[in-house]
Amino acid sequence: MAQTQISQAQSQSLSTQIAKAIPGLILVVLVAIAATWAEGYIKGNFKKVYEIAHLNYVLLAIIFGMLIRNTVGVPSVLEPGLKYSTILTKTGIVVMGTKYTLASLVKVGTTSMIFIAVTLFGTVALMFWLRKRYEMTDSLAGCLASGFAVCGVSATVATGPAVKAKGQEMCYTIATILIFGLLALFTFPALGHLFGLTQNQFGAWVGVGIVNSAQVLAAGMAYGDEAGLMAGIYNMGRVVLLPFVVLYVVMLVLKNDSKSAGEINKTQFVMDKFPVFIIAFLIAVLANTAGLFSKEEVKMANTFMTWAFTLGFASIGLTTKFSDMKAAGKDGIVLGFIVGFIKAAFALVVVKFILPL
Amino acid sequence: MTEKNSCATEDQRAADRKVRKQDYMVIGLGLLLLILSKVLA
Repeated sequence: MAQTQISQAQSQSLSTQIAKAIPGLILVVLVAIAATWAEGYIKGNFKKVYEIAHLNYVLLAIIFGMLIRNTVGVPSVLEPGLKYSTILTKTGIVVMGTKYTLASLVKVGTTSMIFIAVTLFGTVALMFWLRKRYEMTDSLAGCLASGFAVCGVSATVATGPAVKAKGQEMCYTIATILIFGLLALFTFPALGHLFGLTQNQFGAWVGVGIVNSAQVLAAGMAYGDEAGLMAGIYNMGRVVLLPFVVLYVVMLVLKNDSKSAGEINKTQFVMDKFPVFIIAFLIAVLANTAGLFSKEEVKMANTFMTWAFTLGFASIGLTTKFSDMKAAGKDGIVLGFIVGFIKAAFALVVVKFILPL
Repeated sequence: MTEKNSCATEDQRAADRKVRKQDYMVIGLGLLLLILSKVLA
């Protein structure tokens, strides 16, 4: 799965890519429809199970996808259509902008941005401090540091070439991040209830505590709509900081190689790695703030958003191989999990007792 | 710049270009869905 995500950049014409993707996309749509139907069925017939396990369409899409991938398997002809999870979830985030106004973004405020920045840069520093106890290369430590600090796959792909990581080190990092996220996805909502977190507190917690963006949104939505929205805002806060965190990681990896470190044009580096899709999200927020969307139009946008996410989550499930997770090995997972756990525990304390949410 | 560093920079640029291209696709799709929301509501 990880290898597939890394090697997406192939020089094929757009029409060839679309034609090859159609069979897999049909499977993704079928899984998403099944998840949506199953949510209604469980809600109607097994209300207690639904309330206890929070088996909404988000989790069901991932579970159904994983079941298919790891039992009957997926024929190779369907594979090209399964690698659009990032595009689908990012598109969902853009449309999600119609649910916010500038005032709601400002409400999150400076304190939260400081909290996000401290958590992200702290995660990198902690990873590099702890890595001395483990046998691993600088490049793997760099990938793990930025992957566990920011938004998983994107951060790893952005960091890998800059720290001269090998393909398998990037795959390893992505697999580790996804295993952590998968466990978090199914345990954090229960922990949120155990610690009595409000919707906003939970959204903020998973917004920094879980790594992969899609898993952040999935966990937030599993807790409730408001938690999903708050998780979306916090995730955006992280995404904005991605180029700066990656630059910090690269400087740490190259600190023993002053010549290479000196060659980096920092402004160009940040510009090259800036996630430009945020601009479309801001356009949606501004349009909604200016009153360009009526209630009905926001409702329609919400339907599109829900489908973009459900299709994205179904793709994630369909590309999650248990064998990849097993193959990821021990040291990186142990270090990643220690750092991920400390980061989540720190974030939990801050959202519960310090941030005014 | 050594040959090794030059290769790494090329890889980095290729990865950045790939992500940027994906982001442009997301922007296009996102804006299309926003327009559709207005048209279909």
